[in-house]
Amino acid sequence: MSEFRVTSFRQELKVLAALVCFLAGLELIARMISESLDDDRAHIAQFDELVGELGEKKGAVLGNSLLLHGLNLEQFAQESPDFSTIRVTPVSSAVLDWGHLYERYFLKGEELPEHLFVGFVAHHVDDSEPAKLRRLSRHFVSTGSLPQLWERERFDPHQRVQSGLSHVSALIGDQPAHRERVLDYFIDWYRLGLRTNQDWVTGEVESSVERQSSFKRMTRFVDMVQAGGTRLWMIPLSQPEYWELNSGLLELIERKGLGLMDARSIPGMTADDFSDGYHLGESGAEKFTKWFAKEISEKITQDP
Amino acid sequence: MIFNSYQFWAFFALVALAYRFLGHRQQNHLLLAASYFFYACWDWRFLGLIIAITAVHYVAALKIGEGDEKERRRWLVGSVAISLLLLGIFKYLNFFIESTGVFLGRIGFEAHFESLSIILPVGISFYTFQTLSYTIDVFRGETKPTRNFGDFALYVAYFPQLVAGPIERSSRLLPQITNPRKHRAEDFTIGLSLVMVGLFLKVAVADNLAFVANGVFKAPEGGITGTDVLAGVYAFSFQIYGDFAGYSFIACGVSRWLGIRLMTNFKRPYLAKGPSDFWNRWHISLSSWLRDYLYIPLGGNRKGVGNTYRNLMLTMVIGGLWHGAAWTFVIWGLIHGVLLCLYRLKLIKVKVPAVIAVLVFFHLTCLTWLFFRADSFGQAMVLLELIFFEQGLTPFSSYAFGSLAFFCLPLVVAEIWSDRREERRLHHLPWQGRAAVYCYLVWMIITCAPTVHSDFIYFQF
Repeated sequence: MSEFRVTSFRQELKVLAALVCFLAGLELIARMISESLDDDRAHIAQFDELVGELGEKKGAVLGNSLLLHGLNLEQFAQESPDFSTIRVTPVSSAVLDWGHLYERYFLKGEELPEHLFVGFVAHHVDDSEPAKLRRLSRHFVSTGSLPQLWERERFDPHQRVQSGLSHVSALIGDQPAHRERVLDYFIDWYRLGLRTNQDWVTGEVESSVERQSSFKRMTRFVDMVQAGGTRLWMIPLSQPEYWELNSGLLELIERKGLGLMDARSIPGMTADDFSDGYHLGESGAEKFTKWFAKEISEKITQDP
Repeated sequence: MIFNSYQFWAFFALVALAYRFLGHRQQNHLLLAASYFFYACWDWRFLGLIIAITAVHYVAALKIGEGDEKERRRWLVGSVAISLLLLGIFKYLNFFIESTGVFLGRIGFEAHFESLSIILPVGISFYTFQTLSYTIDVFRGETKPTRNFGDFALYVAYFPQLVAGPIERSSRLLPQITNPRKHRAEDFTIGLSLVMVGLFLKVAVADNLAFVANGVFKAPEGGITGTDVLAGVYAFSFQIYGDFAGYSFIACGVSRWLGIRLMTNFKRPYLAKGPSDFWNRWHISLSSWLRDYLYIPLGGNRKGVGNTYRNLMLTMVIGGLWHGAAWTFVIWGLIHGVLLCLYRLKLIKVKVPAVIAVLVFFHLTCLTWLFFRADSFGQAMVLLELIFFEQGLTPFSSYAFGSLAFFCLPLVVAEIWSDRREERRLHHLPWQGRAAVYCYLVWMIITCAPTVHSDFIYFQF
């Protein structure tokens, strides 16, 4: 090993230049693999195309993995031939994401849905649901709405920079997905271990934190959808155990004149219809889709 | 405004830019203003406290420098008492109130003491010890008191090391403040390597392993095996190292860019072969402080075997209590004291190979971290029992050990490599080598950063 030779600032610039090139390469790769990272990114990449189909379809279903697994579109088309719908269901999304993606993808399109169906369980629509900053900023928020998002959600300066960088960079914005892929590749039992880890860590937090029940995000979302003349339907979804609707949300639904399709207790639905204690399995999806088609028939197509 | 936030780097960029265009005196004014701003970002209400402590020690040092022996002692005792009193009120009052209540209850007295609502000023333990060392050094004649209040205030509040050290000595830091700083060609290179490694240690190592460790220490009873606990303890060992050493490296790195050299606080501590070696490698600024201002004044090893062990135990228990107001920290210090005593006794006469010595002492260190991290002594004992009697490989332990290997193995290999020869340092590599290492570090920092960043552990101390 040679003695340390004093390096000049200019020489150190070579190191920094190499680093910048490396980062540029990473960004390029991140953009190239963006749509193939997982099924969810592939779905997000189709948003423009899906919204483009609205000219021939009357409805849009908006939600997350609960509806992704819960609504069988092929079965729905057979059960409800008079009413067709698109489905936009990015996983782990909630009302903050739905509001922004509706603005970014739906409002810029030529057609708006006549009916918008939003499937949720309690925490998806209240303000306490934490923002998934990188994904929200990268995929759901339009450039013009970023400052509004920062202001409304009271992002601190660090979060604002993170959000801005996520919006322009696939390397930063898709980082959680990259991380998961890398760690899943290198670490045995990563997903199962992580889930156990999360349960242990959040178990204590969730039991000690009382959920805040305000609906500012939801109110903004409702106002935006209704301003376009779309009829908004709220669908509280089935869970293995019956859950109560928040009185504040019920009041909002009534005040804004929203439709309600209550899927919390679908006849014949049991805990066995859920694949993992949260999402509907095949049999559950069949029951939900049948119920949904019937609801549409009763509340929309027969009684517009 | 933590080191791994964009705010800090924006703040530092502005300070560093302005710094380049100023003369020495103006640089000091800028650094002092920036340091107070940095501290105010945590909690502006405690600016008064730090200024008050600064003023007390500034005046005390001047009086000690001028007065006769009696007056010098009076000023020393007075200033030390004020600092320790403030530290006691902010950090230990509730601990003593609660402990007294529990003790009285145990011996049969009904006592209801209300805990007070006291916010712990960030970094108070660090700047209290730093000011104490200055006044004591002046009293001992090892440092001359400074007459410039601004310089002394900067010595106390210098932002890179204000909230989590290293605890600097006046003999080292003060001359770098009072005298014009020399711009050395290697400062940028060395600073960059320190910052890179520091960010890697904090963001990639500490924050990722914090999640694993938190899971184990919050897991419900009965749902966890000894192997899970073992993985959790290893995870915490690397978390606290990554967290604290990471902070120290970044502090030293940004200081280098300002032309100020801070002391090295960590030297590959998990390669220590025994407790003395460990304390020469772990939180060196605290261990040397305790040695110079507590252990040696108590008599050190000069007053017989019994007193040496007493002094070691006392120093380590106080060192434990310095970390926090809880019995688990006291026990942590106690165990380290016992280890120092046992190793000093040299019960094992056979010379063990270095690798065995390192592995044994690493595991003893991990044992102490178990008590350090546990919420209570009871929890530590339950987890310890699991480690020894209920081993069982689970998907969680595979995941946890996998995480440890992924995040720590390259670090361990690099530390073993660089521990062998002093000149084996990142900044000694040719530029291509440095660039390759930085690419790996940056990739880990960007791609493997956890979703949630945690504060630096040592801020709470």
